[in-house]
Amino acid sequence: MLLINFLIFLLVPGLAGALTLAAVPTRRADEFNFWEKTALAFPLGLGLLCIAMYLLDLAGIPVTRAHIIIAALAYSALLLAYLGWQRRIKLPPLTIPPIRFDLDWQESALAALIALKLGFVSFAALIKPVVDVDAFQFYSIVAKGLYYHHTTLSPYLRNFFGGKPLLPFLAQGWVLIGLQTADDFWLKLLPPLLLISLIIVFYCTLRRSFSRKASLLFTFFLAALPLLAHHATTAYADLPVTAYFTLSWLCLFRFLKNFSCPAGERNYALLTVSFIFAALTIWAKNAGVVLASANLIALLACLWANRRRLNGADLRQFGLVFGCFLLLILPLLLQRATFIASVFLAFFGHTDATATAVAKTVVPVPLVEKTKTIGQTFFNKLLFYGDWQLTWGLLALALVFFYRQALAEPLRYLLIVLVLSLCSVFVQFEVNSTFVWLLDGTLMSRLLMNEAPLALFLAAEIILRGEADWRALTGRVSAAKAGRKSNTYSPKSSKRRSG
Amino acid sequence: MNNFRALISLFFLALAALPARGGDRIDINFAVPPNAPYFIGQPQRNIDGDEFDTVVLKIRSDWGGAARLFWATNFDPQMNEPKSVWFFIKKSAWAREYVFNLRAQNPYWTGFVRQLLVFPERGPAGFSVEGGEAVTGGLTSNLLSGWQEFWGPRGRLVIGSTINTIQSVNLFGRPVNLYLYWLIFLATAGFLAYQIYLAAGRKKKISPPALWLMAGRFAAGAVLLCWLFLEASSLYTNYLQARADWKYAGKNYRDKLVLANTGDFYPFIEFCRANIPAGAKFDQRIPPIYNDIKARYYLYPREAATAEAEYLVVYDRPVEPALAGKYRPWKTFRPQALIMRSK
Repeated sequence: MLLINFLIFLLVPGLAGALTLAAVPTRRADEFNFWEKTALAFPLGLGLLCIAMYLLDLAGIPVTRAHIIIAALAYSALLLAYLGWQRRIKLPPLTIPPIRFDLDWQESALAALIALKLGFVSFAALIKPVVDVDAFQFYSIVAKGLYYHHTTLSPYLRNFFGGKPLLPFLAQGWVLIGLQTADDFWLKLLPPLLLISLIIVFYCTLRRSFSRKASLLFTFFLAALPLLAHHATTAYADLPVTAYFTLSWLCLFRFLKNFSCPAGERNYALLTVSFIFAALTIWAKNAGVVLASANLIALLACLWANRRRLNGADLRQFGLVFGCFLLLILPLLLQRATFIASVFLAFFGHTDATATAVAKTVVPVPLVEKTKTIGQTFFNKLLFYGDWQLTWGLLALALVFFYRQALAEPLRYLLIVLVLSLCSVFVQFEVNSTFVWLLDGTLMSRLLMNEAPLALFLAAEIILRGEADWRALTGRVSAAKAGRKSNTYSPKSSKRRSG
Repeated sequence: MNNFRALISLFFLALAALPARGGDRIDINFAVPPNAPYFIGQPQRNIDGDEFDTVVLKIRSDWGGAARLFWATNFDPQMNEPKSVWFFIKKSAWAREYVFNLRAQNPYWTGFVRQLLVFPERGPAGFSVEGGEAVTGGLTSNLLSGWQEFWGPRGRLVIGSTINTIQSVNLFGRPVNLYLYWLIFLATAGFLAYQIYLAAGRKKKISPPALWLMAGRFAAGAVLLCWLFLEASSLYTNYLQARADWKYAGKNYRDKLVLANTGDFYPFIEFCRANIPAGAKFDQRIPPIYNDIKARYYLYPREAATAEAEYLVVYDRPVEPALAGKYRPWKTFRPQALIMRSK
């Protein structure tokens, strides 16, 4: 019975996500390969399922497994009808590529290490019940409430929301409802699954440009980031927000990478998926508003830089993508008309009751002193803690030695996302009462977790492009043969663009 | 090549010939005070922390795990968190030596140190501190102390809240990352200087951009190597965590919950669940942190409330007289762990 329940838990969101991916209009059939589709389908479907659960709850329909499945099937039927109308249903719909085992010993070692890390994360997550205080205090108790009473709207459960967006509560609720159990160690099934999805998409994105060995090496570093791996063993909301944000900018990066192709040939499927994930980032945590905004600003910067290449069809596509994004966050906006305002208010004049209460007991710190403390903690956490190994040092080094590659398109837009999201961390501590969480060391590293995969990806892209350029400059091999396969970038063009 | 080998041999011979520690030493005896879970250095001493920078403890233990060394100084006579270091204990039938260069490991080893205290995480049963001494450290004691510190609990065990941040592994009181950054910086600068020197002697000059990229490649390679070294250390940490979690393997859900909580807390929660009806409201007097939060979670769908609660759940915490007047003892799990019901 547990196996059947497990399949239901996995397949309901998986199917919804896969059909959503299939329904996104695409110009190139190979935009996502089979493994990427599989990796994207679950987090995408899970996010959409949570929104559906929330809408059911709002409509007064009990959030039971039967009702959730009916809603998911109705959504899937709509998508199938749309695909049929578009004549895009293919049987078999997916081609499963054969897995190749022609790895050399280094690649085999890296693949084994990644598997070992994921094995460890899954073991540590699932061997024990929930032991994490924020999970008890917020997410998991609401998940239990949803399982027992089929609603999150009871006044008692609303006490535990603490002004947080609903996705982590509802996602944990789906685990218990989907598996039909109140055993809470299942709650920690989600983070390892999200981490696995993240790792597959991260690897595939690198692999599109670089050799298998290099891609595996940096993917191993991602899988082994200590704080990320640790959070994948807990029932907190930090891993979901990091996963959704990372999937969002990975898709955005791939869209921007092909932005230089002729108008009318750009693939907006990637952008659509990117902004669906951006919307889910907002559903995952309040910080998601700022992270999604960073993605949006990077995109706008790219559009501004390429404004002469845009035509009416492009603008229509952008309108559709933003429409889709707004539609997904609309339920949140409806739920709390002042949601965005409150988040920005929280950002510039924090309203977190607990933080404010604690802040009242602390002597006000002058701005200069505050900035100095934030700066010290910020750089200490980036460079000298065990959270990120040498990620930030590697990125700093890449920016110093390979600055031309770093400033070339489209990496410069990812740099914008990184700088903006890091600045938001800085500003957040600067202007509101969460400064107390900086002093007691509870928040900074968790906020930086959102950016850590981005920093690692940027470092990988910059260094591997620099390596290819060095080989081309010294006449060892051509840039293309040096391992980089992209046709959108060349050392000459990079030099010209960066001035 | 032969010269190089001779040099290496000479280095190791010199190392072996060096005294482990300096000549002066202060012996410290340890005893367990009645009913105390720790060993304390007796009698009180006045150890000059600047001169006697190293402490050597001889410990025999029937179990492997973590322990903590505290000290009190004239300036701060309390035993407290800042003036302490964690270390791993190895299971052994004889007294093993544990070496701490405390001046390097902790900035609070300063002034005159009055007393030392060893706190084994599993209590004093099967554990004994069979002697100790404060000495002036030498090269080998520094190396031993650094080795023990690097493979110690900092950054490896869940100490405090690993959820919020993971400490770096330390070496001589500083994060190991700091040494690696210096190593990478010096190696890259050396490599760049060497390449410039080589390029100056060549007919075909290498262009400055290519030279810069070459240095970048070297630096990136150095970072990746250092990272792989850190990963080896990290895998050891994962092994320790998996070993600590292994206690849950093969247990049923209920037994796992008993293990995940301290003492008899979870059996008490089961007792409450058996007696308080679902949907009822309860107030609680349970010591923070975190059993008060856990009780609220475990007892759901019973609802925690401060007013109009029919039940009061009491666990190892006194009830204020004003509140005690409103309730009467109803079901007792054990003394100081009971359910009270409103009068």
